[in-house]
Amino acid sequence: MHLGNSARHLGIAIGALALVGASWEATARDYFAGKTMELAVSRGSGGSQDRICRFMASHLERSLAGGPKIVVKNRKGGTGVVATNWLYSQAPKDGTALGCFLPVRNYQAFFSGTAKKRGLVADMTQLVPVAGTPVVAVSYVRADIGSGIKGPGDLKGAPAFKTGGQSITNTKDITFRAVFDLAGINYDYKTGYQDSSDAWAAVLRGEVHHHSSGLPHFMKVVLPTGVKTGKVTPIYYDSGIVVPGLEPAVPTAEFIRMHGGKPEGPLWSLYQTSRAWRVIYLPPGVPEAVVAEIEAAFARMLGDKAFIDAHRKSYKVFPAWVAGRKALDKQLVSAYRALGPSLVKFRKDYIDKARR
Amino acid sequence: MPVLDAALAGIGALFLWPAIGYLLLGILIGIVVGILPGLGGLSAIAMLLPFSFLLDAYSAMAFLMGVYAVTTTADTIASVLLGVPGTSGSQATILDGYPMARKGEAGRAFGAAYAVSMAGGVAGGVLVVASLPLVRELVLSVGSPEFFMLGVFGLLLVGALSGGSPLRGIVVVLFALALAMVGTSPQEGLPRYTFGEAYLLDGIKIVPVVLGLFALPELLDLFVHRTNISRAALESARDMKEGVLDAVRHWWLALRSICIGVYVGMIPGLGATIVDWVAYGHAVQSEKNPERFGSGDVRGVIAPEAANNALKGGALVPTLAIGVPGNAPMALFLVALTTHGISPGPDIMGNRLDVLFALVGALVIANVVAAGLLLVATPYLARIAQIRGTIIVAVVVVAALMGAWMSTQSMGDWIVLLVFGIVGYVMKRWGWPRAPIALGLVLGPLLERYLHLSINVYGFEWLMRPVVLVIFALAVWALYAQFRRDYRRGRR
Repeated sequence: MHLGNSARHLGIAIGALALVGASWEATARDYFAGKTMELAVSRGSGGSQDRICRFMASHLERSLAGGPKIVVKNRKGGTGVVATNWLYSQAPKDGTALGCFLPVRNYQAFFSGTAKKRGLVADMTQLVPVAGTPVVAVSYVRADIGSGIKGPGDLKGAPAFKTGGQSITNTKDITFRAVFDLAGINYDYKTGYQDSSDAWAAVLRGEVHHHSSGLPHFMKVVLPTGVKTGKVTPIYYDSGIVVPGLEPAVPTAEFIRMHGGKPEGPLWSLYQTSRAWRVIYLPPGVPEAVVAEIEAAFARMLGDKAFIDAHRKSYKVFPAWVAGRKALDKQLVSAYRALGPSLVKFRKDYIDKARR
Repeated sequence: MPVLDAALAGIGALFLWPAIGYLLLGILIGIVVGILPGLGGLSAIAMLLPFSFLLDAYSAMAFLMGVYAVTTTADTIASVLLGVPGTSGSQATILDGYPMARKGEAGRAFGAAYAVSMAGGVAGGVLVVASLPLVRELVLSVGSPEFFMLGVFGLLLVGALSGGSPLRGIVVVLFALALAMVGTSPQEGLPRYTFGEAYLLDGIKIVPVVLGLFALPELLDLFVHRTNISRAALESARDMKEGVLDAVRHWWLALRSICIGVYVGMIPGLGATIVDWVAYGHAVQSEKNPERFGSGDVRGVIAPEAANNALKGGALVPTLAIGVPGNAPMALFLVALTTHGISPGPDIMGNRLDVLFALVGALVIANVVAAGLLLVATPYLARIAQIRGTIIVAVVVVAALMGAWMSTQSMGDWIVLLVFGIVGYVMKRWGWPRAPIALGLVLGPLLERYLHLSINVYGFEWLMRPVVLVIFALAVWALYAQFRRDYRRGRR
């Protein structure tokens, strides 16, 4: 309670100062100086989510005026539910608490009316997204399917191959099934692998022929040990634009058209509302001026050469982060709002089809 | 690069400044992390990984390997003296290590543990290099059906972990398998038996369960009887030497446990949580006078401690050879490697063989240095067992609470600790075996996942796969041997 009041008072003070034209930079420096902030990560330590969030925290520390310290805390559980609920209901509302999540399943649950079943108490429209990046997954298949796969077009007419997923409700599973169905490709869906490493091992031993890995796993593991050795061929990646370095793979929509399909209709909407984003949030109720400064800090960070170089060194790709509520609301939240009753039913039926 | 040149270049680079300095720093950090209950190599490496990006490749590998290699050597201290597993890899050590401390043999337990830990680390490194030509075929020959059958084989250890009450052991392991189903179903990704509790969405965590089952009942015992941990007189350095000699005397058990560690490590997905139980169970199943296990038998320390250090070398193999991390810390090593421009697979196995040898060299050096340092410190550490029980109770309470809290850092961890503390106390009092609960919780998710995948991917043809049949035959043989031995013991 005390913290909430002081946050409100600080917010009023900050707002007043802004009104009288005082330099916000100096105010922000005073506001954040000496503070310890928390970045809650929705997964356990050591995973790709944890690493990326820690990476962002270390650079945000340098970009925020006043040089606050950011402590990363793993609040894992329920694929993001524990951390999201904490940020929404328990985190301090003074700008010193942030969350770094993969929120797609929480948005789906929230907009499809299944939040309670999932244990989600947060109102997803009230959380404040301040920075985010689309999670690009790269689909690849064994090169020895049929008469050989050297490029995405070779799947046309190839015999049915086994896809390896993680669970029938997993967003990556839903997206690759949707893409193959839209493209009219024959596949035999197998799921239950623990993660991309587990599925990658299954691809290598020929237990399944396809998997879709996140970009870091693809660049660091699949590319050197699978693509360069000719064992697998990348076929498409979840992006609207061409990403250099992933050839011969092509963006999703192009892959679908290449096989005579059309990226449209409810299945395409399902694909788009199932694509994952990695987002950094503030809780609801943070003073506007504080939110604006944190957004500005992210914007400064994303343009900083040191950040770009470090990102390229760590993740082998140019950072595709977006800063600010407006941009994120347009690209992220509004996309999930499309999950109206008919799409929700379509999604449920599509998952049930996999169960059968 | 020729193999010999690569070995000389890689290992030689470790002895140059600053790599050697970072290796020693890593070892010291690893020892501290191992001593503190609940903190494991994974947490430490996750925290130190960004720092390693600032170093050159050799220094980074030496630093991280220094931390990683020795946590399961130093974790013996909490397991033996406090009955609290220092890391998830030393859970089985407490079964005999803590009773040894209570008998005044903590120094002996440490001597044996450090000797086999060092041997496990060194032999693990050597076996890694020896296994490299075969590794690809070995790792890729183990598919979902084989994983499932290995899980079944592991379940048969229940007899060995039941302290002479196999029927009770079976009941307990079935209860634990049911508990393992709490969480999110692996096939559907939907909550199951969570009763709306967000904490349970990821299942019941093994660390607070083991702490509750084993540490809290001992704590209560110390508190009620107001004794110190060791009821015997203060031991001398001779006891530590006796422990080292025990390791030599039981070299065959140590060697078998090392092999278990290396090959469990090589199979991605099994890992540290299971290896100490497998090695301990194997020791009880295969050694003479199995009834002595659980009451302070040094062989019950030798087997898990040899295996959990050897596992680390084994886990390097699939990580480097095919980019499939042998365990969670290895996934972080992959990140460190790739950030330094070294890729797994053909790159490290061919062009950068020097880095591979540097990693193996760092593993071996770290194990030798850590064992040496801890052996020197043992006579002082063993004195903890002589501290008055009422004082040590406070330390163990803090250690147990801290260890449990590190699982998910939520109140749920403490509730699980308390609930299983009560369960453990009741089970101890009524003579029910507690170890099968840990076995069931570790193996349950693995069995469910790989049974589903086996049927889903192969239909019922998976039952006819050659490796499955071989593991099944070994399992039947092990079961038969166990029954025969129990029967003979019963007749005597």
